[in-house]
Amino acid sequence: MRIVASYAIKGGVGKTATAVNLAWEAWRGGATVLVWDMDPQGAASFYFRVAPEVAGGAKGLIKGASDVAALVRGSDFDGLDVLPADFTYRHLDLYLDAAKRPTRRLVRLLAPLAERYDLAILDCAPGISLVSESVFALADALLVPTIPTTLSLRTLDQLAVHLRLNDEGGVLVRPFLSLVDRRKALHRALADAILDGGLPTPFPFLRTAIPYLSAVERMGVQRAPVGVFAPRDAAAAAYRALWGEVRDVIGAR
Amino acid sequence: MTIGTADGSGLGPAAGSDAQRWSRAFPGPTARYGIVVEAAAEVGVDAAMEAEAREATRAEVGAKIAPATGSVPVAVAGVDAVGGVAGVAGDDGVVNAVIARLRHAFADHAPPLVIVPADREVLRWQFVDTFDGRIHRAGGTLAVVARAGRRAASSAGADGEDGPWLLWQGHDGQIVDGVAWAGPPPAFAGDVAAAGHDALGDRLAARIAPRRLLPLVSATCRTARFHVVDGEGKTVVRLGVRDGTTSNGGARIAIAPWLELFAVRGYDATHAMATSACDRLVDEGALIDGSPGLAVRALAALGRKPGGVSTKFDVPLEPDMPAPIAAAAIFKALRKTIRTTLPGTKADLDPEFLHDFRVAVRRTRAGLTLLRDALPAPVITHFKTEFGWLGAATGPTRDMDVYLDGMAAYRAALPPDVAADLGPLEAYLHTRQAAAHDELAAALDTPRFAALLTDWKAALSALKSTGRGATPSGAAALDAEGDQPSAAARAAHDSGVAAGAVAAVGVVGVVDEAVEAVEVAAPPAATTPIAALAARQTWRRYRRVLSDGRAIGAQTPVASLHALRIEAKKLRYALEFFRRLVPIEAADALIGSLKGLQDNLGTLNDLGVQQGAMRAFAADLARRPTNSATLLAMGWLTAELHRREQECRREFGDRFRAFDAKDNRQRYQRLFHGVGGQLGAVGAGGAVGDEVPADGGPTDRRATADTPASDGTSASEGASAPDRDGAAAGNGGGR
Repeated sequence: MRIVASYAIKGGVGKTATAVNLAWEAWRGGATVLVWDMDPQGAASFYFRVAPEVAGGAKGLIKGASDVAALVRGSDFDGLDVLPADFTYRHLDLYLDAAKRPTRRLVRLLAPLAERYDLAILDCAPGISLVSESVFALADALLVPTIPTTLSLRTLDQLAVHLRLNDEGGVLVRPFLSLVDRRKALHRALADAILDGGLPTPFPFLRTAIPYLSAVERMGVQRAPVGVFAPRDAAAAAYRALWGEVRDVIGAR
Repeated sequence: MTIGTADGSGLGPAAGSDAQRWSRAFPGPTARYGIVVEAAAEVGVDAAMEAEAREATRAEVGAKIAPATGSVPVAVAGVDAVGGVAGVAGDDGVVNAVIARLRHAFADHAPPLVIVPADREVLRWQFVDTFDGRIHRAGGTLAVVARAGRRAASSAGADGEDGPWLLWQGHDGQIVDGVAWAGPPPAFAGDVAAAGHDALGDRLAARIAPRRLLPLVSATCRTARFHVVDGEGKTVVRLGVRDGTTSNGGARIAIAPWLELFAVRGYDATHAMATSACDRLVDEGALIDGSPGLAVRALAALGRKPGGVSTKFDVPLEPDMPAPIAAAAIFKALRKTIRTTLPGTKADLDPEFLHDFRVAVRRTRAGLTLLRDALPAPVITHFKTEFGWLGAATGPTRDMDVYLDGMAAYRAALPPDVAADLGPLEAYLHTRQAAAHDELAAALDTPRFAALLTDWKAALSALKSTGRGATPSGAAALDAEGDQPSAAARAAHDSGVAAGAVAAVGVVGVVDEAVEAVEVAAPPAATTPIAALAARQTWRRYRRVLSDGRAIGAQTPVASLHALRIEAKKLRYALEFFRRLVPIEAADALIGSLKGLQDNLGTLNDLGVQQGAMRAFAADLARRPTNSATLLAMGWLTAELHRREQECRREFGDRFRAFDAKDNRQRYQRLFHGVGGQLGAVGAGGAVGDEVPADGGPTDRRATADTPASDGTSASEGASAPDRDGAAAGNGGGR
């Protein structure tokens, strides 16, 4: 099972849309996929119409008391499953902190599911915490949706510094442009500079940019990946292209 | 980091493995129910209910599915897709009625659950199985399945699920294995491996090799899928209403509808609720608990059953049955096997047809000896000649089949680079096999063979009539004789057609003689109960195997072991003929203990014969342009065969001691020995029950020495041919 995290320090950059749409694209391509909605807000669970609750909560999961396989819910797509969010995930840090070797905890937690899925996509909560540090150690790749704005790019530098200081340099970090609004001059300028190499970035960007499109916002109404309800929309095409790049990055044969 | 063993191949640009795609396209049902069409129709008449169902489903389509599919009216697309079979198989009335009932059953649930139509599909299935139904017995079906018509618009269709597929499905509907498969179904397991699907090929080979896959039944199956959704619009259970059509060559025949449930992971409680709702419908008589899959349902629609044609010998006998009646039953069963395996033998569909054909012929010949007291002497003489001829005609092809079948083992016995040099030998064997089969097919097309079948049938009817009037009393035996003319007349009439044909090749006299013999000669044991004859014969065979086997020591010439093999085979036939006369467990225990001995003797013989054959093949190949490497490899192989022969010879002692064990001896004694034996006792009150001859005497021995080895087929039965029929002993018992 390959593990990919949709992660950003900054909130509201399209992490959940990334996790949900990439999961669906991977599934559509034939893979068996698990989405772990790690964000207590439960947006990914909502998109998949799965109730955001986990029996035993964060405590049961981290302490190993819960049978994780029994907590998984099938989505409407046979072979794409969801480990739902739970409001207690807001305390995930606390339980991880109490546990010995927090990273090992998460590995052990996902181990029973490893043979069932080709890919796990972790939809992370924003910020840097003990949870995200464990995710850095766990994931094959961090996908960082990045809005072409100064603040958003700044968080990439913060992430780079953090990883260096904490000796977490092993994880592949792959930012990509998200919510790009071509009507905005700054978006256009930054996006172009990033993609043509004119602007140095701490991590290499994926080539695909996800445009700012209403189809992505409509996911909340449709409660489904964009490819389901708007297969010919530019958003669906963009996520398909993004998945193609991610697939190469994580070394699928 | 990556957890587990998955290497990411499932994520590849080719979009996942076959297994992922078929498992998604063909999810295994968690429950299946037959649909009672009358009950469904009854509800269907309830227009209000149906209208309500339609209304509700449309509404939910609007709410959930339609936006998701770009407002394609899902149900309509589905109807288009099934247009091809509509009007023959089932109708939407049945589907709607069943769904209406289920909606009703789900209505009480809190929170509310609704059923919405998802999509429809029509698939064409071509099921295949071996002649003897090995796939069915292995617990499933094998089929090439392809989508018929276009796929209905669906939110859940992943790429590449349309197949066509070659699917191995369990009887419970779970896919065991599958591969993408274009074109007609495979004929042999090797075809699957050759197409690059080693795992499925090996799996199939283990179950069916060397048999050919033949068309079993084809069917078009349509499925109307529904989703049971909760208040969030989340699918929590899936339903499929299936029906279809099959064909009997002409008309299309409807396959009765059935319902399947599919669980969604993590929604066990809802699934349990759905099954209990279905169970209530079972109680109401609208559903039938449990349903077989499409193949069995299609076969049932055609009035057929799965499982293929069995060539296993199993003739029920009663101990007090007059011997001629029992003999006729035994021969009739064998004749039936000869007939059923004949077309496949002639067409050389696979080697097992000929093998089964030969075993039946050989059993018949053994029966002509074993049951000789129940048969008129001229009948024995005539048919021994004829079946002997038939056995000999089948020998050369079988020999080549056995060598070809052994090629894999030959290769495995040699180092890989040496094994590679055996290619020309295999090609040579194929050529020889084809030539031998041409001759066999010609023999099976002769009037002589046609006459054999017809005359044998006539002789058996006459035999049955001989026995029918017979009872164990002497008086009845006279009656039996009085019964004969009519039977003989019938027999003569039956064979009239054949007699004409036989005249063409100038052997009509033989036929006349045979028919005449039925008229004039009553068999010596016309009134003997079969049990007495069985006890006498089995005991005699047993004693002979015992004494011959005990006489064999480390220095005994190998020819004695081959003679013992033939004696053991005759005992085996006796045990199998009379298996149903004694407690079945006892018979099977005896057969089992004998089999261990036979396997050893058979292998020993095979290895000896094969060394000789290799020398002959090499001599033949040396006369053609053949690479010396091939001849060297054959020499290497011959040495290896010799080594194994020695090994096998050393094992004989242990095998024979196991056969000669005390409890085994007691079992034979108890069951078969004289009037004290369980079987002999049945005949004790009869006219000839006491006439158990002294067994094992030299005179008696000579009298019964007309074994298959001595009546014109020694080339194929003696130590000069592989133990062709024994070859099956390893994988299914001597049949």
